[in-house]
Amino acid sequence: MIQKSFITSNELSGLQAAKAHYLLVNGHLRGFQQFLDDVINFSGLGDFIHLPVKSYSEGMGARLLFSLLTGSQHECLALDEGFGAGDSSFYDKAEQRMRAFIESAGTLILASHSDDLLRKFCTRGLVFDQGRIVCDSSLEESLSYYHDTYC
Amino acid sequence: MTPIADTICYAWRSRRAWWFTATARTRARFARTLFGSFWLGISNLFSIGVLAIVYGTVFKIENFSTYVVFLGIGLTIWNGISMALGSAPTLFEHNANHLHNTNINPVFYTLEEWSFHVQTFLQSFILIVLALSFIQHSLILNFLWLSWLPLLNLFAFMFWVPLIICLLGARYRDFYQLVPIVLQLVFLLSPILYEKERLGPLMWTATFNPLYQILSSLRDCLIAGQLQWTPVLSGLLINIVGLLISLWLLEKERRHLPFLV
Repeated sequence: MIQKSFITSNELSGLQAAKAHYLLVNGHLRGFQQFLDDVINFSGLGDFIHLPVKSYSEGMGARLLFSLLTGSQHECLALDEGFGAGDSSFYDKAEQRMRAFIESAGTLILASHSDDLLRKFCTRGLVFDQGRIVCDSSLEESLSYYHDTYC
Repeated sequence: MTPIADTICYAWRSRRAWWFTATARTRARFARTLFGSFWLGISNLFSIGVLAIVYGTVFKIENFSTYVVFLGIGLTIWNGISMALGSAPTLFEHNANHLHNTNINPVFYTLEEWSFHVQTFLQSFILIVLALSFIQHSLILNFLWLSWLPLLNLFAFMFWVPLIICLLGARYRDFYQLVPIVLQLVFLLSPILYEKERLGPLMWTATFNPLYQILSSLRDCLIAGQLQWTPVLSGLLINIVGLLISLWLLEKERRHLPFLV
């Protein structure tokens, strides 16, 4: 799943964005209330879930999107470092959820320029140059290649 | 045919999501208004009233009540078609963010737009039919018994023609300028405000006017209470071929779309 935006118009509320996402993934609304409670609780949006997405700050939008994407089971999750948007308490929660996801045998593809972030979650590294893979190796070897070639 | 079948399967699987997002858009549009989506029908009723008085006088119409029904139904159907076609050239551009950042099949956005227009049209059309049935009582019965096939044709047409325009609009930006001009010209050339016979020697243009053909088959069946099987079935055949071609074109253009918008 590669997703950096809601599938709905930003005129619609966070609740409607969550509902549309759930319907797209599951095709029905069975279990939606539980999913929604989890999303509201995890994102910390509270009653702001009823406001239009266009009124959200960047951090609120990122928190809601991360909560939606990681709130249901996926075989593979692709994220960029943008999930770090938001306050530090949310970042800690996001990190825990990412670890739980990896431990449940999911595949995480993380795009980042941050060595620390990559070392936290990844074991294999791919370096892209102009849309082509120029290095496919262990994380440390890929980082070394990246720093030697581009820095 | 496999990619087209896959697209159709995806469209069916995601039906509840695109229908929901379209409904939510309609609700958001009329949020905090007293009459809600009734405004769709009310605004059409105002237009019909004013245009019927003006053009009824200009054309020296003898039977005014018959003319109001003729114009009212024609204008409402035309509004549905023109809204669907008018918004098509920029659809993918408006969804550029989604096309760049998600792996959702682009047919989702075309179906969402289509269902938005179908919902808008139906809400308006049902109110207009109810209002005009005070003048011609048989309208409701004709609507319930005879209008299904012409409506199906209209809805199919409202999907595949805008889809082709979407794809052309993504590649050629001139379509954004061209479509409103063409729609205006076709409206003036179509017997919507006036009867077909008034075109005189230009009457043949109505025969080759696809927008008018779709419109008239629904309007005539509602007003006359008779279903013209030949144009309706040939319209259905054209729509099936059009649907398949438009989905094939979408599949062909799909991987290029993020680079075009």
